[in-house]
Amino acid sequence: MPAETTLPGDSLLSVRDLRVQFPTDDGIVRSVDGLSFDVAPGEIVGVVGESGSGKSVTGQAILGLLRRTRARVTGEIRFDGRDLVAAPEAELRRLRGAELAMVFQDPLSALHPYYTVGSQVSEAYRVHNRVSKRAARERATQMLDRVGIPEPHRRYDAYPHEFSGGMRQRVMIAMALVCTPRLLIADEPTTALDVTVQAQILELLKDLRDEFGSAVLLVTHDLGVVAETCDSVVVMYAGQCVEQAGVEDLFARPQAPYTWGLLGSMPRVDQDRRDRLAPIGGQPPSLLAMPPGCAFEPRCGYHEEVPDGRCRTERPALVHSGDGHSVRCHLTTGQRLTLRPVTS
Amino acid sequence: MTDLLSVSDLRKDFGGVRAVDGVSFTVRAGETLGLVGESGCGKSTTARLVTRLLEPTSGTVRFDGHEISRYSERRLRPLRRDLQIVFQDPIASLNPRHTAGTILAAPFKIQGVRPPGGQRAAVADLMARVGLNPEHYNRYPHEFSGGQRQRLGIARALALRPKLVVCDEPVSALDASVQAQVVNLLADLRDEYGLSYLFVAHDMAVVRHLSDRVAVMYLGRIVELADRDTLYAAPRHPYTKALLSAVPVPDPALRERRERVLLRGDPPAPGQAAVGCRFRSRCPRYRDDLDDTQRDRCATEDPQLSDDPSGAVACHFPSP
Repeated sequence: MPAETTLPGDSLLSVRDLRVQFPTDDGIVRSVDGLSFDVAPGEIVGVVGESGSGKSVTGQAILGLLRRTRARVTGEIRFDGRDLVAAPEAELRRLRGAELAMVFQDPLSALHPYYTVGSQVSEAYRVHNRVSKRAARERATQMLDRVGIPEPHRRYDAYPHEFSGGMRQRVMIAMALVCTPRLLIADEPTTALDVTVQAQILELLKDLRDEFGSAVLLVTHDLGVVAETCDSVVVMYAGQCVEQAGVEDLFARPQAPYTWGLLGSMPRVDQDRRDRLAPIGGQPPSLLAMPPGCAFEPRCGYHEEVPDGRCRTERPALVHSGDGHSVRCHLTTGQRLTLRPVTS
Repeated sequence: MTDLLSVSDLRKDFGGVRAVDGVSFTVRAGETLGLVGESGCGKSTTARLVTRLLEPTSGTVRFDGHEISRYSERRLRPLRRDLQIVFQDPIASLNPRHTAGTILAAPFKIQGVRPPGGQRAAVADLMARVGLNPEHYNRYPHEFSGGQRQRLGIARALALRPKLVVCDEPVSALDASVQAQVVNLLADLRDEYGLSYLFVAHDMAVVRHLSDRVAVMYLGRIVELADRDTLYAAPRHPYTKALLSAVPVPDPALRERRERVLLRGDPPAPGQAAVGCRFRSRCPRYRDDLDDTQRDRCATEDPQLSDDPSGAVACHFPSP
């Protein structure tokens, strides 16, 4: 078995062979199907994929948010040495908010409409810290100020509906970071926002990482957001990691045909490209009826390069290709070098 | 080139809120005009006004020689063959109880058009043309994927070979790989049928890819309108500059090299007519580069869109 990733010694979060399965009337949906990756302290790791790739479910599994659902979660999620899959609910509750925090795509549904934004931030602080209400208010106001809410003393008493989408997302980030967690899971935090506001929020996440040293797991569908924000990347397809690398390496030397396809699909705002886009044909496979071989094979333009139809019969393993770069593909390293389309 | 669509000083009030505030532009025959902006800027309202799905409060919409802004539904109907719209959310714009076949036959029925070879053959032909399997004639919208539903919406718009298709965020609900398929399809259909598009979107990269000229909207107004290459290479309005610099680019090597103009605050909600330049509350140029006399002008005088043919800009102090 080839080494899947770097040594887990220096990692804050270490996920090994994570599987999340949802039993349905039509069969078992394998949302996450053997995922392994690491997050180092203070690192921003992007998990990128299209809808149904399992990227959001991964974040929910790490936080233990699937425990009251029918989902079956197996594998190992080590956070600072503790296995979160096996941890009792009480321990998870102690960790959530204090050391592990989450920011969702839609802050309006994550904030309580009846309570002021300030009280929700200070409550998040008081759950994990034995301080007076006044001290918590002080701390929450500081946090609101830090995430860029103007007039934080006054706005403390405003309700979520009085805020714009971007301001609500700032409140969510303040709430998530008020206890200075060691890992922040941000699930599409800017997808619902306008692009000028997205730029502000991504800057804020990077600044806060620098200031508090929190690691960030950034779940997104947007390779542009990954390129601007992340240190390393996990590319997911149909519940599996198909490629994993440092951010510069991934964009300079993408290895997996799926990643080539994603990059070829993107129109570029900074380039004059008059020719056609190079989309990936077809649709992602049904998670109920996964192909027996490579999950991407039915859409891959390169499966004929691999002898004996192996792409159709044999699922490729995630293999190290040097420099912390891993790829799940039957093509040889030499083939990937010659076949890779020029993307820019 | 002749103007197929010519919009002049178009306004739309919803209650006291002015969503579109004096918008003028033209779409020439065979060209694609991109209309971009952030949420609440009035771009989708503009799309609905020019297709007369909404009544304009004032202003004129001239389409193919007809001033249609006050036309009755009855007088509009024959023109609708030539003026079609594709919506963002295909599931909301397709009747869930109708099969693909019924949905695509409707334009022929409504307009009383008998296609040569019959309706059934025309529908099958349309489905094939947009990349759908004609055997799926009897499927319902929910049996198609998101990308396929959008193909269905595009096929319906194209059934009667219109002259102008207004596309309102047609690819923003789609995943990247599927989005690229639909973008290519729109480009191919345009070339094949000589269509004109008014392409309304928030995604600056998609708009660059598809448009010949681009209009940028902010708070109900067009603030810059120029040829695609000019606008992207040398944006003149400070808002256009900021908008372009905010778009993430899939190349980490450019992270440090790109010039970033970070705007503060959110795009404001449309409201009452304001005094002075509506962008000045977020304008980095107003904040950092101007002296008091210049600022005074921004605060008191509403900048109008210049009518420079190479590139129009509504700013008192645009970049050269």
